[in-house]
Amino acid sequence: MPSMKGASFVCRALEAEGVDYIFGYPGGAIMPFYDAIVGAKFKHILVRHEQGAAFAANGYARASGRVGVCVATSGPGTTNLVTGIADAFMDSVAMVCITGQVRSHLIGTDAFQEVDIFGITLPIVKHSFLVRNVNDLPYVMQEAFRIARSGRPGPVLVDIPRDIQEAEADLKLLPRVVEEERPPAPSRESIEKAAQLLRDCRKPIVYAGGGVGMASAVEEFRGFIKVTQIPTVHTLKGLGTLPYNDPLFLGMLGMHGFKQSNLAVQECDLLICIGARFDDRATGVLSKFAPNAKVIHMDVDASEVGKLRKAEAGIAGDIRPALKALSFPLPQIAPWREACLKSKVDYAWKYNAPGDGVYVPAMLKELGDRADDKTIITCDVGQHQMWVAQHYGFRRPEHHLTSGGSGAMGFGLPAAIGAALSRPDCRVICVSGDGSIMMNIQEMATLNRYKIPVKILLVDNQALGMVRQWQELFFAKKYSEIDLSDNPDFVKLAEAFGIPAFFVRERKDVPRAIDRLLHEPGPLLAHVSIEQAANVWPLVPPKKSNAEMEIHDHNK
Amino acid sequence: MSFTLHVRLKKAEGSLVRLLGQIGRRGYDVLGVRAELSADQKTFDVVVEFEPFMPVPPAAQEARPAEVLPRLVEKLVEVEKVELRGPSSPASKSAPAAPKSKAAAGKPGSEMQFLGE
Repeated sequence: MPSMKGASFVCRALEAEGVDYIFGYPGGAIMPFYDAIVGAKFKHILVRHEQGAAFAANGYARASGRVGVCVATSGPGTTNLVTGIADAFMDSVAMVCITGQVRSHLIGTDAFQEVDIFGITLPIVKHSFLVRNVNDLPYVMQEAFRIARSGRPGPVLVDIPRDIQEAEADLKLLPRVVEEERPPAPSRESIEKAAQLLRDCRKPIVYAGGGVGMASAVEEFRGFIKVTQIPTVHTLKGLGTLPYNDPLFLGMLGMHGFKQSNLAVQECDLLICIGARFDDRATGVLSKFAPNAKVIHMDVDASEVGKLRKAEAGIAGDIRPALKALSFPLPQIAPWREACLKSKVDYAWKYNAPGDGVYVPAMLKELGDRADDKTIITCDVGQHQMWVAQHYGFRRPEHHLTSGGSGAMGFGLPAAIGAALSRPDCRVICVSGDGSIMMNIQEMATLNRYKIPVKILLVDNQALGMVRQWQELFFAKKYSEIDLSDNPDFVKLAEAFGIPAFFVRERKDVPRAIDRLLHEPGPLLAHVSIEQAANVWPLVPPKKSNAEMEIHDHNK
Repeated sequence: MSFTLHVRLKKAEGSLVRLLGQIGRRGYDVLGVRAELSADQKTFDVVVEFEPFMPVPPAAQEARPAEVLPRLVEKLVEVEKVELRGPSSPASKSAPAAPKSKAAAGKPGSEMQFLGE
């Protein structure tokens, strides 16, 4: 490869990695890169805010299993990426974030649009580089992608001063690191210990999280459940690992988990945690979580094992061989399994809420029942997010894109853009709320510009619903700054962005709305009005165990 | 109760800051640090004295387990070796097999030579 500018090399490196889309926003310190991408083999998607770029790359990665790439200029451009980077870190999403930096001689001088993004992002990246020498670029680009996707995936920041982008050097692409770099197999001792716990247990529960899907271990996981017949609960991010209609799937656990799920976990004598991390939203008060259970904890990340809950058997490394080795029948658990399945029937959700207004759980259940296996749902954060998790019915984990760890409102729409571009074979529906959608509403312009066929199901209660619910229940109904009754007309707003839209006001309108969402081409917004008082049930109150959940509606 | 963490890490942009940040952010109070650059200027030998934070009531009075820290630190890309030394908490007791060969957390008889040892 002849001598070239650093910026051109970065483009060639992205091409060599097989990148087909990058998401970004230009500015001063990244201008050499933007000059170099003209004619590149990948397509640049111009978002309308850098946070949209980070979330779009995030959604791209989650839906496809490939590395998402976002780009921003220095200073405010980079700080606008931060929420999306933090989200990728919390949820272990493979991303490479390329940022322009002021010229090297200006670093540390408080130059125009200078921000120490390397320092700012240290706690929220898997790794980061500040490129000091143009000759380091081949190594840096190769390493950035390798690190982002290896082991437990995560975001990698590559901060490139403008003079490094402009510098010419004899740069050669390093060979692409093989993508299928598997973590090491767990130790035989740890598996034998787990096997003994399985043989000794009477009331086991599998508690599985997003780590199973990220480890490409869904088939091994399903095989393990099929052979052992252990009742299973999922975290928010684990939904779909076992299909929602599998008889052994009890539902989501945790703060908004179903009764049968939480009670089974509380009563179990062996908790098999797979690709999950005892997050506080799943466990409630940790000291009261599964109080009588021994624990088997499997995770690719050894530092998660024993971090929050002592494990009698810790299995660190590749979970696939562990799942295969532990797949043997457990005839002694039959009575427990039957009790769990009876509990699932006894506590089955009732979708016959009184009234004529739209009942969101029923709407989402119908959407899930009618959507095919090629439908991806992205969510924002709040009540609608929990209703989706409880009622949609996922068949694959990569079909549910939700901001689990960081809980970032504004995630849904840009993530849907990334998902739709990375999975053109799939239908993508963004379920959002009236609070969340406004956080990245500008990305409707991106939808329209590229005619990306994302459907938006906007659930509007004219309030910050989850905060309102907590103020109602735990702050003596003293409502503080949750009113959004002056929302814009979302149908007119969407139409102003060039996106067709329609209202859904009554329950009887739902089937037709779902028809349109599932079958119309191009982007589309359905604006669903619901009553402000609607709450998410069950709910585990703060400082309570998961056994102390509350239900205050017709399901009580 | 304090412990010491002995870390060898590559000299790279921000590697020392990243190491100390990982320790403090994860619930361990840094009590002291010594760092020495190797003769070839490619690695640091770092000794960090720390103690796990004790949560304030009403949180449960359970400090973060010290033996988890080497596993958190060894995840950092620049870390080549980690060893935990402490009066009552050899990391090998309950630590699962680490996925990276660079880990030497708490293994007795380690051949690592660290600054000041």
